[in-house]
Amino acid sequence: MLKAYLDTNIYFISRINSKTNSRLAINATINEQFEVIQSDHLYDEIQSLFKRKFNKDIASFQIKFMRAFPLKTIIYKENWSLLINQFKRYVTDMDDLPHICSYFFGKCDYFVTINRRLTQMEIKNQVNFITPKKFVEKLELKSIDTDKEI
Amino acid sequence: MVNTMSTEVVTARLPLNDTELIDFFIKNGEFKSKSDFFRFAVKRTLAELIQKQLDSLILKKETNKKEITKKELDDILTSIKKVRKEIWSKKYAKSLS
Repeated sequence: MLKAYLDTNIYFISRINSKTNSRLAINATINEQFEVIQSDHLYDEIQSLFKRKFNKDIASFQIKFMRAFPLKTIIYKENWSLLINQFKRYVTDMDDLPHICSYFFGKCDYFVTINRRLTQMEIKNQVNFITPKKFVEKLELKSIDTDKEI
Repeated sequence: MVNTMSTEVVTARLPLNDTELIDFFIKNGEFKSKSDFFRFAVKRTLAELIQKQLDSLILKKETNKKEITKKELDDILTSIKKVRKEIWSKKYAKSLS
């Protein structure tokens, strides 16, 4: 089965607009159409972002939602940190590394993101970055035409 | 990968038709056991219910109809970057850089 790491922006966009490919990707993981790889760092980011943008209750509910995905693997710091030295030379910002290393540790096929800054770093030669729209199409689902393929 | 989730035993009474179908899918290799089936079914149902609940809390009809503008998208990415930097410097920068 296909494995994918969904960047923080996918979870956020799917939450604020249901007519997006990001939402279709999230629905596809609930329907076990692929295995989602997550990390403890992703949970920290989501919790903090949702608390700021909405409130504490919504942030905690969002975390419960992500933990309820039937087909998921969580990569913890003790595992993703083993790969830091191997990949740090390929990224501009060290703070992106927990996600990148979790992608590798989880042996993902795709890293789904709308973050162009990330997809243009040197790491792009080793990570299979994909937009939500193209990812939805890889799952053989009908995608939505949106700006930036979000 | 460490997963230390505590569990609780729950007993449920089901119609025979349903348990026969569950057994059929276990034999077909879809699930390892009845527990495996129930864990999956419960997680999926919970995810769907939480999704609905979150939608009712966050999505307002008007905002959900329109597309996210370029400016909104840039703001979202900037906020995420800010959070990412903060977590990195608070939790990992010293030990992992």
